[in-house]
Amino acid sequence: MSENKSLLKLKRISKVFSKGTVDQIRALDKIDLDVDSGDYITIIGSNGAGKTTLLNVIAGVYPPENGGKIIVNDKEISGLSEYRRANYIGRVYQDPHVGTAAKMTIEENMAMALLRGQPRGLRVASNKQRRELFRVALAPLGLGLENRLNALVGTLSGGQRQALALVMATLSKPAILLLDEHIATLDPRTAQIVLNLTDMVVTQEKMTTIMVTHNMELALRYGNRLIMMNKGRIVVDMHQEQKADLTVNDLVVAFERASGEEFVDDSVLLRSD
Amino acid sequence: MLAFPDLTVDGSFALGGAVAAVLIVNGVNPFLATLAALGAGICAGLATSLLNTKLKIPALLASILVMVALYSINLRVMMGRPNLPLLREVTIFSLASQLLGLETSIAYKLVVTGLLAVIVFCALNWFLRTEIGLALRATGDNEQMVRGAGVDTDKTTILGVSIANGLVAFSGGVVAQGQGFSDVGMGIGMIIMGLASVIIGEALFRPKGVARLLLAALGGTFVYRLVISVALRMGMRATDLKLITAVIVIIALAVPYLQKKIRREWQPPAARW
Repeated sequence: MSENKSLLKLKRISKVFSKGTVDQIRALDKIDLDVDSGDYITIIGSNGAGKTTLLNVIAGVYPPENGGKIIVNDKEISGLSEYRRANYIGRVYQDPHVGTAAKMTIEENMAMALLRGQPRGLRVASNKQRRELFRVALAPLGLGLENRLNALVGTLSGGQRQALALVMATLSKPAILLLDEHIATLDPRTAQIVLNLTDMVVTQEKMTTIMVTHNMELALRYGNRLIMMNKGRIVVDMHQEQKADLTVNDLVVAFERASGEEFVDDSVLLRSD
Repeated sequence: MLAFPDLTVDGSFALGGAVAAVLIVNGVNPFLATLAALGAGICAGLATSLLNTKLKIPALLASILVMVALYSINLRVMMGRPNLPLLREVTIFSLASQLLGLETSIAYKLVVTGLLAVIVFCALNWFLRTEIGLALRATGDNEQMVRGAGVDTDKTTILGVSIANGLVAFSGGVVAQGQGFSDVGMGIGMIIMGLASVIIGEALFRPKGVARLLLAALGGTFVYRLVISVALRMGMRATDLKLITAVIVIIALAVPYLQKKIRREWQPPAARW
């Protein structure tokens, strides 16, 4: 795959919630976005800016409205349902419970993830060869999960589950990785482990990644492109060169200039130091 | 396996009995008749799961609708008669008794039902470990994760509910031959009896893994039957059987919650039902 080829294209993506009522919210307002192959994009914005909705539209949880288009590798996927898009997209959610199945073992969870995008048949789901593959994939976490393949996932801690979810999302090497505040609920140590692993996977596999975060510091430190959203629009879009020397304060100023309003989100500011 | 409260089974148990009985009375080979019962049950499960997945009728309601419809259908299958005797007809039990040279009804009934239980156990034990079987089990655990792994949860739900009802109707066909008649009311309360068996099995054996889960369901059925016959010996009437069953299930469901409440570690009830 050649660099700088557009991998994911969003055209005029809109999403309105509670249409026609007093609570009507324009979550996404005609978003256009070109994501290059190998891009590692961080998306930041206050609550209700539309970050998660954007990921949901890309992943196929909601269809885009009013003729909006989603194109992956020159193929339009706007009409495909969520499970079909999973062939292209791996996703890690904020809640560790969403990405893994609690009443099944680590091995069974990994076996589910391994077959993403492949037809499933009546072969036994896991064998010696696949178990070895799972061990190799889990070892870099440094959490010892590779030796606990038969443990029920429900017995793992939230951090362990999230680390597992990340490995599962990337196991079949999808074209796009979506990370939805995936370290927001983790303790600092585990958050760091998961972040390091994210970085490793993304850089080693050159996986095209979109990471939503609440943390400005993180958004600056990781990735080669930074996007800020406000009220369903992209208000700041910076590439590597532009964001390299920025501080959190610069980012706040950039936001205020672009959106024409004061930046008010305590959680972003509080977490940024 | 699936988190699908399926009341269809009340109807499909009687459906299996009706189909097998009518075919046998008309001179069909009893093994074929029992397989036909299986097929009829699969159709019933198909109806319920299609109502649920394609028309978005809630599982509980969809299954009640099919259960009620089956009441009429079963009467039609049995040519308008609420009861169809099978005495002096060729059944799988009478064939087995000839074949094995066993005279006492307990002996050959035990052999036949034991053999069928082993066959069904082996089939399920194999199927639930396959790639498709794994996706089916995961659907009952975490649908979001399953869609994220690229599996259509509608399909796994349809498959699971169909297989379950097929097996229930299969048992209905076997039971009708065992007791020597088929009755439109023979399925009433079947959902609760099944539930009681599974709950008892899970509580007693605390199973881990597919094989033990299946064995626990079998063992639970055994213990449940034991409790029922003890209750009958103690002077309860046969007509009280369903009341006893309901009480067992209520106790089994309430005890874990009450234990937690007494220890002041209340948790919201499981999302399972």
